[in-house]
Amino acid sequence: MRYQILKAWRDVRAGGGKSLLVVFALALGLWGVGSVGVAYRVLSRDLRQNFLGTVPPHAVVTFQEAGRLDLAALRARPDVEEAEWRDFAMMRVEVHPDVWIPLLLYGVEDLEQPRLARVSSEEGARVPRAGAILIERNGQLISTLRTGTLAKVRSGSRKLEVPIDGVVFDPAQAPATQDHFIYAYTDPKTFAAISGETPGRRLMIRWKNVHSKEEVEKALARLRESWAEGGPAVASVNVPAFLEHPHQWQLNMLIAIIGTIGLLAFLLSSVLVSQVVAALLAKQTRQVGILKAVGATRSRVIGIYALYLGFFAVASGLVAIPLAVATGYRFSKFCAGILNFEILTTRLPGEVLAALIVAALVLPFLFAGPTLAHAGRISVREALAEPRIQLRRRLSRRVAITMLATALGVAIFSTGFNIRQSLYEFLAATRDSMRFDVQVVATKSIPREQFARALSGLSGADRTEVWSGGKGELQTRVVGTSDGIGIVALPLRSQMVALRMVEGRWLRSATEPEAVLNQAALNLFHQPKMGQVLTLKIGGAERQATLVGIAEEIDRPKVYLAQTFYDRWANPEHRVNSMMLTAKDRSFRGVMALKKQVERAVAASDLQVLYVMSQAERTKIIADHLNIILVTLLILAFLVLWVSALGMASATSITVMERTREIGVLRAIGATPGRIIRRFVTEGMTANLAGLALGLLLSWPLSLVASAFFGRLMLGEGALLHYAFSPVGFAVTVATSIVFGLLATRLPAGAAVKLSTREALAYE
Amino acid sequence: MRTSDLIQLKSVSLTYGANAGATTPYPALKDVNLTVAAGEHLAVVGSSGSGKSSLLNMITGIDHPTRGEVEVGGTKVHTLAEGPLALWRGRTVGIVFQFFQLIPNLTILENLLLPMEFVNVVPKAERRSRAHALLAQTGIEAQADKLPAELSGGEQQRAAIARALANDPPLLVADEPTGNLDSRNAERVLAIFRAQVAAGKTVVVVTHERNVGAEFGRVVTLRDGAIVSDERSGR
Repeated sequence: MRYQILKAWRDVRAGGGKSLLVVFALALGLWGVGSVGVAYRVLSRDLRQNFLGTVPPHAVVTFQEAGRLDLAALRARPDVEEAEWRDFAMMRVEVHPDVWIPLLLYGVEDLEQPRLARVSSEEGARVPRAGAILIERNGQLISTLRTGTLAKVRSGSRKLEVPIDGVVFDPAQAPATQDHFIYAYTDPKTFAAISGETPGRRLMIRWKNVHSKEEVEKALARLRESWAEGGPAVASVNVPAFLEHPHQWQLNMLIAIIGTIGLLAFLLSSVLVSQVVAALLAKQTRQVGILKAVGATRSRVIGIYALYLGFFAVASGLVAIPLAVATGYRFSKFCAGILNFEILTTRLPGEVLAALIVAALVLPFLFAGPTLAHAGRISVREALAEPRIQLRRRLSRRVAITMLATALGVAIFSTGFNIRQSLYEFLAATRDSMRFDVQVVATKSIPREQFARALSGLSGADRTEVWSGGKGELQTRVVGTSDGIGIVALPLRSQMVALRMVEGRWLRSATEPEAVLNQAALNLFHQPKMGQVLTLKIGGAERQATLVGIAEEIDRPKVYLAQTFYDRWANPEHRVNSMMLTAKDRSFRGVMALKKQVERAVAASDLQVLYVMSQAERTKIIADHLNIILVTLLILAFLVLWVSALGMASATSITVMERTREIGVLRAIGATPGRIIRRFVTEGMTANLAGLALGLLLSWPLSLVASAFFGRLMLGEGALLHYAFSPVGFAVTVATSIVFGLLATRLPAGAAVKLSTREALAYE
Repeated sequence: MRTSDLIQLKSVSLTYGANAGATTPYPALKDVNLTVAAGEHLAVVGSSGSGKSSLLNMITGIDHPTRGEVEVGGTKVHTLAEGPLALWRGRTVGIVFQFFQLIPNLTILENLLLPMEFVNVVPKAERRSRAHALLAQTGIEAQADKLPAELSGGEQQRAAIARALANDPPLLVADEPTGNLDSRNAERVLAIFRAQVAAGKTVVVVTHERNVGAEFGRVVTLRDGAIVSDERSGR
C-alpha cells in the first residue's frame, strides 16, 4: 500500500499549478455550498428561536372598555396557558430635528418579569422610572434617541418630553429600520399618562395545546362565547400567523434565494471541477495502462486514483470548511442585523460540520466518478495508445461544456438584474399608483372640517382629498378589523389613487356596493372570483359588496370601498381619518417643502396625527424591505458568473496545457508568441461569446419564471411580479462576461508561450 | 500442449474494428499458430504493421483474439476477466516497452517495488533487497533513488527490464526494446535478455531490426498478420 500512496501523493505534487487549480475549484464549490448550508442552518433556526424566546401570544384582544375583565379568572381557565395586559398606543416621536415618525408605545403590566412578549434589557434601567420609557434597540439606527436623552413625543394634541431610561431588545417586532417605527415600553401608569388612554384594554393570550392558527381561532371563539353574556365587549381581535415572526417572509425569501442560487452555483462549479479533474486524470491514462501491465487490478488502479482524489478532498476541505463556516456566519449576522435578531447558534452544530466534512470528501468523487470508473475500466492497450483522437474529443467536449457553463452563469447573472429591475418597476408602479404626494393620517376618525381647518391654505398644496375607513394607523398597515382586513373608503372618483389592476376594474358604481381587494387580501377570502359577492363585517353588521377587481399592491390585506357605501353602513357622521395632498411643485424638494408646511400646520392645530408621510418615504419603506433581498440576489448572481469565469479560466488552462506540444509545433514552424496567444484567445472568446449569446437568450425564460416565483414568494399567492428587462444589467453582463472571458483565455495562453520550443515539443 | 510448452497460440486471429462494426475491419493477425517452449529465446520480426505488437499483446493478455485461443503457462489467457488477468500478468509476464513506460513520479527503486506490492509474490521483507539486486544485475544500482527523467534512455530501458523481473515471472516479453537506443545500450539490453534465458526464463522480443533477430535462438517472421517463417538457429 505504501508505494500506492506514495504514487498518489507524488502525482498530486507533480501536478503543481494544476493540482492547486483542482484544490481551488473544489474549495470554491465547497465554500459556496458550505456557506449556504451554514447560513441556512443558522438562519432557519435562529429567527424562530429568537421569536419563540419572547413567548409570543397566540392572540391579542382589545376591549371596548378597560377594567371589565377578571384577569385572574381568565388565567385560571384550564385551556389558558398565560394571559397578560399589554396596552398599546400610537403617537409620534421626533427622531431627528423636525422629522417625526410613529411611536408605538406599550404599557407592560410587569416589566421586571413579563409573562408574554418578553423583551430583554440591553442598556440602562431594566424598569424605567415613573414617567420614563425604554426604547427598542433597532430604533437607535434611525434616530438620535439614546438612553439618558429626552424623547419629544406628540400624543394627540399634547407635546411631551419623555425621558429614555434604557434600551431593550424585542426580537418579536418588525425591525425599526424597515418599518420606520420606534417601539417603546413603559409601566401602565406612565402609559396612561403619555397616551391619555386607560390601561387594561389590550390583552395578550396563549392557550395550552394549540398547534395552528385555526386551533387558536377555535379557542378564541370558545373564550368569546364565555364572555357573551355580561362579559367584556370586544372591540377587535388579532390572531397573527401562528408563532411566526412578522418578517419571517423576508427570511424565507433570502433562504430561497441563497438556496436556489447556491444550488445553481454548485451545479456550475461541479461541472467545471469535473472537467478539471477529468483532464488531470486523462493525463494519467498512460500510467493506468502501465500499472495494469505490471499487475495492478482494476480495484488497485481505482484505489490509487481514489487516494489521489482523496488528497484533493482533504486539501480543499481544509481550505473551504473554515471559510464556509466564517462566511455562513457572516451572512447570518448580516441578515440578523437587518432583521434585528440575535444569532443564537454560536457554536457550529456537529451535524453541519459532519455534513461539510462528508461533502468535502465526497464532492471530488462525485465530480470525478465517471472518470475514475473509466480509469478502472480502460484496457491496457487503450490506455497505452493514449490516442490524440481522445484528446480531440475531450477538447471538443470541454469547449461545449465551458460554453454551456458560461451560458448558465450569464443567464443567472442577467436574471438577477432583471428581477431587480422587476422589483424597481414594481416599486415605481406602487409609487405611481398613489397620486398624492403627502398623506396625513389622524389617530382616529374626525370630522372632515377639522382636517380642512388645520390644513387649508397651505401654499405648497395643490389639491386635497379625504379618506375614511381605517382607525388611523400607518397606511401601509391599515388597521385590521375583526376579520383582519383593512378598509379604505374613498371617493368614487378619487383623483389620488390609480392602482394597477391584476384582474377586473376599479370601483365605478354609485348605486351598487362594489369592492376591490389587494393581492394580500385574496387568500383571506380564499381566492374569490370576479363578480362574487363578498361579506364584510363593518360597524358590527354584515355588509355585501360585489368583487369587481384585484389591485396590485405590496401591503397588508385591504379592501377598497366607495366612501358613500361605507358612510351609509358605518360612518353616518361622514368622519374621515386621512387627508391626501398633492404638491404644486411635485419635485422631491417641492414635496418635502409641502411636508414641512403640513408638519407646522399640524403642530399649530388640535389635530391628533399619527403620521405625516410623503410618497417618496412610503416607497422607501417598501424599498427598505426589499433591499436586503436585492443586494443578496445580485451578490449571489455575481458569484455565479465569477464561478463560471473561473471555470472557464481553468478549462482554458487545461486545454492550453494539453496542447502544449501543439504550441511547440506552431513555434517550430514560425508562429510568434503573439500569434499563438491570439489563436488561443480567439478560440476561447468564440466559445465565450457563444456562451454569452446563449446565456442572454436563456435569461429571458429564466427571468419570466424567476419573476413569477419571487413575486409569489414576496407578495403572496396570486401576486405578480412582471418580467422586466434591465438595460444596465445587460450592459454589465456583456461587459463583465467579455472581460472575464479575455482574462480567462489570455492569462493561461500567455503562461503557455513562456515555455521554450524545445520544452513545449518535449511536453508529455 | 506439451508440458515443456509455455506459450501456445491456436488459430489466433485479431481484427481491429470487427466488434465495433466498422465498415472496413483491419485484420492485424490471421490464423496464427505458435508454440513457444519454456526457456526459449524468441524474436518476432517483421516490418511496421506486420502484426508483431498485436502478437505480443495476445501473449500478454493486453489484447484478446477475435478468434482462436491463447494459452500461457497453462492459463487460457483469452478467457480471463480484467482483474484476474492483471494479477496473472503481474505474476507470469514481465513486460518491457519500447518507450520504457516507467512511472515518472516514482524513483527507479520505487518503480520496482510498486509491482511487488500489487502482486504480493515476493515476501515483504525481501522486496527491497530483491529490487537492489535486480538493479545491480542490470547495472543501474547507483541510479536507484533517481527519478526516471534523470536517467539516460539506455538506463531507463534497463530499469524497465529490472521492473519486468521484479516478481520473478517465467516469461519476459519486450516490444522493440532497443528501438530507441544507441548500439552500445542496445547491446547491453540484449545481454541482459541472454542472461535471463541462461537463467531459464523464456524471452520473447518483438523487433523490426532483422540483425537483432540473429541474436535469438528462434526467429518468427510476420507479414500482413501471418507467420511467414519460423527459423531456429543453433544458439
